[in-house]
Amino acid sequence: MKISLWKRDVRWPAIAGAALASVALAACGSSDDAGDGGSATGRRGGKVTIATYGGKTEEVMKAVYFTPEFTDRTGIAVSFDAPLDYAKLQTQAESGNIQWDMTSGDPYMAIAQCGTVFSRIRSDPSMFKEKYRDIVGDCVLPRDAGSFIKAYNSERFADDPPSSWADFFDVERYPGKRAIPSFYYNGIIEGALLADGVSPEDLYPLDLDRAFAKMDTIRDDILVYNTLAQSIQQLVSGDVAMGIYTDSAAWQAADAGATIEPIWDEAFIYINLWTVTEGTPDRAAVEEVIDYVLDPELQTAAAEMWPVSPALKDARQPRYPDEQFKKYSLAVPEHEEVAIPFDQQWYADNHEELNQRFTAWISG
Amino acid sequence: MSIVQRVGHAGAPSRPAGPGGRALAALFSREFALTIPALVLLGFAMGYPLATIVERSVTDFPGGSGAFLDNYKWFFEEELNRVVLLRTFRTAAIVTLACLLIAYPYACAMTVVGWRMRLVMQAAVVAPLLVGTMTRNYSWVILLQDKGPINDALGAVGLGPLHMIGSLSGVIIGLVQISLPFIILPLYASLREIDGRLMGAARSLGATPAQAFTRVYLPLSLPGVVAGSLVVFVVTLGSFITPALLGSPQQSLLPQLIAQQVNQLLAWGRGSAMGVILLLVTLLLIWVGSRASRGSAALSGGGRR
Repeated sequence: MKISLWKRDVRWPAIAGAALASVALAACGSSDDAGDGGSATGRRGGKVTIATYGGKTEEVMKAVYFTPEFTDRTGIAVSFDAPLDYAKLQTQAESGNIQWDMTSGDPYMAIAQCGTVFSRIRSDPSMFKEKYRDIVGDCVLPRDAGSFIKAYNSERFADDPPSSWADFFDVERYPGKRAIPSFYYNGIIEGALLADGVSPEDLYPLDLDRAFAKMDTIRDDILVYNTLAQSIQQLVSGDVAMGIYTDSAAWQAADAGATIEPIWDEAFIYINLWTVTEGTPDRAAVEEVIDYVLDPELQTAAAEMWPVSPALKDARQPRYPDEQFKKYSLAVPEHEEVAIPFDQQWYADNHEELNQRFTAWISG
Repeated sequence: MSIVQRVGHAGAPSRPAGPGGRALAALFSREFALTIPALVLLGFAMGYPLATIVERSVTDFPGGSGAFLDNYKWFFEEELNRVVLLRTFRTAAIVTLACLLIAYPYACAMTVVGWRMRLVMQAAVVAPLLVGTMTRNYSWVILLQDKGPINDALGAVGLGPLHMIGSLSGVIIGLVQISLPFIILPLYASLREIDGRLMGAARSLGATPAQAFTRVYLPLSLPGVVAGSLVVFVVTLGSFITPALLGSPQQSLLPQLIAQQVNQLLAWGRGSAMGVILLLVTLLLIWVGSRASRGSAALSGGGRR
């Protein structure tokens, strides 16, 4: 009795649903027939999952790139996962059981694991700003750039503000803790060489012995932070005199009331990427996503939400929401001009040794 | 209570006395059949991954090729690894000792209070286990931070702010709290079985309370002490989340280095070798510990008789 009632209740919506679906299908078919400027494949749909480190990256991607409008138009449902974990990604690529079709990770890893974990993507380096062209590779497609800048406590050093890597390593003139990220990929090694008199053109290949010898001179003053939240808290509480931060972390700290000033000179540029996982099942959908995201307007829109610099050369200057934002945005030409890109190929070739030495240096 | 215990003891199967024949017979006994589900589960959930780790540690090398024990050679050649291995064991030893100092009086008190109070004390031990690991760790992040409630309280009584988060002391505080149930429960189970009349007997024969404790109670409690300490020690050695959240990369412990090898460098072989080394050293310590505990049980005349 109960069951038959349930059946009767459910039948009508099911029929209605099927009818609606056939109407929708017919509509799609007719729009294809009409040929309203769509691609040859039309609205073919698909599912793409993108893994990022989470946080703001994911937020910006959802707000700027993968809006409901994108899914309506292409039929491609984009979902997100975080945090990106290379061990998991490698396992997926090796087993062929891929959950993360695309990722937004680190260039050195995409270069080092190109063809094994990461899939080759066709790309045209001339689309990108000259400064970022070197990094465009078989598996590497730049999205936008951020940087590691030095920031200092502007209250403490109001009379004699530091301005260079030499000042960063001068703990007598500028006493106090130096905060650095726990990951070696932050510019302190390059900074040590610059402070030691190496010219920016001669940085790579990095002379690690010389760099670590210079870094040893301030080892007792180093404070390593693990998370973005931790770094912001240290800045706001005034515990540190100076530090190396991503421009966006420094911006957030300044927004939270930290009395800090950025030093743009000889900041180090890292590139945010689009990467495709080797063996992703729905390659066509991924290609469509890639064609879509290489859009100067979208990159600029992202740079207006978050202090990054668009990677495409045709992208226009972002309109900054306020002065504070502008102060920490790499997209400002005066900032971008004096910042130096990491040599990602060198990192890809040497990251194991570098990791070992850096970890030994901070936690040995 | 004590009657129930004695009945329980009489009913328990006696330990097979060594010879292979009896062990073999036990293998086919009905009791053994009851352990099959657990063994199957362990085989899949632990045996297979463990075998994979051991295999990878001798077949997977950074750069593609290497000799059989290269990853192990690398481990002992790098000073960092040795420093961190020692730090990991030192931290585990400190945590174990601190846990023991807190747990012993607590477990002791649990054996003498009334049943209502015991229930409250038991609930207090078990309750933190019901809160997720992440929640507990993040609670400690909030409590220990430079401008957190603990430092506020210290400031109110005129003590300078202590830098606890991002230091080894923060890690130790967190690990002690998280590990406490693992030592209090076995310790209580062991202390509960000590016949209180033995202390009275010692006193009547002229022992001071301190003597009665050190010469009678303490030796009888040693098996529980060793068992609980071993659990805490092993749990601490393998802990990853607490040191990652409460500690600093400047004070990395071995599990963090393992995660770094695997997640950041994709050096599965090296990470596996590190895991195997940690496991072997831990097993060695358990073996030494269990021997010591058997020795102390023999010393105290069987402990339970």
